[in-house]
Amino acid sequence: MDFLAEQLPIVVQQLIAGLAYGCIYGLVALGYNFIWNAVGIVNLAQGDFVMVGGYLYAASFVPVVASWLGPGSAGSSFWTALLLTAVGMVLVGMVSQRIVYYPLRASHPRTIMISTMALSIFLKNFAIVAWGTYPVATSGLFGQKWFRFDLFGLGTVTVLYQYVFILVFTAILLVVQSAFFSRTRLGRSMRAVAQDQLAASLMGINTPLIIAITFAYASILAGVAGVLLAPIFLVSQAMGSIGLKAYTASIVGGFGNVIGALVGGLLVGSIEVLSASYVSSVYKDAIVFVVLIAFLLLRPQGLFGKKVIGSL
Amino acid sequence: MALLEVSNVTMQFGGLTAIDNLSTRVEKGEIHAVIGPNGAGKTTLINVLTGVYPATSGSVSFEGVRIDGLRPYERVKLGMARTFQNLRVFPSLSVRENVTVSQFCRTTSGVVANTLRTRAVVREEARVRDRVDEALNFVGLADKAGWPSKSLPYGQQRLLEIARAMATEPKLLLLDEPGAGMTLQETQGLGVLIKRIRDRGITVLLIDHKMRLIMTVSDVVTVVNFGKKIAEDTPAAVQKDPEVVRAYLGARGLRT
Repeated sequence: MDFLAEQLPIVVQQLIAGLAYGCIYGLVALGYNFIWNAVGIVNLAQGDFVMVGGYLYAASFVPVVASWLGPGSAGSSFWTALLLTAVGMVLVGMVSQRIVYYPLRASHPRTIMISTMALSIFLKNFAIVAWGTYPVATSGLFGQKWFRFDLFGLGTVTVLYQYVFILVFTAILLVVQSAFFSRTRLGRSMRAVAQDQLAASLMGINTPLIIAITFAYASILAGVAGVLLAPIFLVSQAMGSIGLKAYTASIVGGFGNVIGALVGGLLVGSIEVLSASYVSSVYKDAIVFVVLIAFLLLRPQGLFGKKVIGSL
Repeated sequence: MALLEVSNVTMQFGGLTAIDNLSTRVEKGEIHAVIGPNGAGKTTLINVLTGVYPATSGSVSFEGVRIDGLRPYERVKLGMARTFQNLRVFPSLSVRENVTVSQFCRTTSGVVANTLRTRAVVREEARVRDRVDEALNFVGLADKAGWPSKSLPYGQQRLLEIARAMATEPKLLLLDEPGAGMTLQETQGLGVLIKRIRDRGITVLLIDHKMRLIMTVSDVVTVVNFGKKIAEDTPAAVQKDPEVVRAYLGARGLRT
């Protein structure tokens, strides 16, 4: 019992970090799912959108905005830079879909996926040209401040403020998103297009526009993930690897399922952090991918998905 | 001027000619039926008219304007709406939402106004709600408005498709086998509904296999076989046409 009591605060601490990473994976996984539902392809550049978002925020907008607003403006410059990044990601999403998806929309999904792979390679190299090869550090709203609280007298839990912020921010974003999809004209049209593109078009919905907006939204989600991660990680080309973790989250949750993406993300994040502390931090990625392979073999439809027959 | 004018339309899929040099005119205010044996090209015709497939050759005019090059949603804006032979309601939207998304093509307020929720937007939303209520009442689904549409029984999903098409405020409604899978009673109700649609000033292009339905509601019947028009006349005259009887109704004449 004593051992458990001693371990508990540490486990809670790890779990908060894991869930924070999980939120990031969930946001990126949602992007995979919205594009999958709308046009039936996996956008292999989704992870690179995270990186582009991170760079836009940390390397482009934060320095510029901070110099506009002057010193001591960390708060307002964070929110302004976040907003500018979101706008930038709308452009990135719209332009990429116009070049990578739209001309090929009648082709086999595999062809379009290869084209998104090209986009991924392009973005990685574009980032080197635009922002250089050195990783960029940024402090975000909280810098390296720690949040401490007492856990029922068992000990003190210490986590980065940024982790707590990620949890709260993601929760608010999801509430807004759910209202958007159930209440607004655009949100309902996006759902209609996701469920039956042809029927939507024949009910007067401008489907090419809605698909472009879906890509834009998926890339906003990835960009926000990049902004949230930037203060914890350094922003570098390696950020694109988030895409693979988020893909794992999508598979675990069930591809195309909105709740699945989030649950999958939280699971992957927790597994990653717990295996880093209790197994080996060297193998944490390997363990996550073992989970991916296990799901692909044993439960390819994921936790929430419906069984699909056939393959790409 | 005819509401819809189809001139020498041909639709080929590889070597298969699904529609072969077909011309017809749908006059405003009539119920115009298209019948023919299975595989005669009836659904292909609707797909060409609504812009799902581009015709291989020929032209389609709606209210005197060529529409061949337009995308499906642009034709809906001009006033064409359709239902589907194989039901295509949006399964995870509610009954009300299915009809609501189809009303959106008649709304004008943009993203900025919607974000600010201007007075015009609020008015427009009220108008959308009224139209949706009206469409649901019209087909008799008002009490099921909150249901997930996939949980409706088959015949009611067909009615939902009609309500959804009506919500786009069409001038021409194309019904692709609306009676398929309906019971005799439901089919009779459908006949009444189609006439009520026409009485609202909406022209109807109707495709179906149910002869009794076709013969009781239509003003004009076009008969196609192997993609070619073989007859076009009033229901009574078409039933007596020897070629129609041979091609479609069988040597022993009309069976219902």
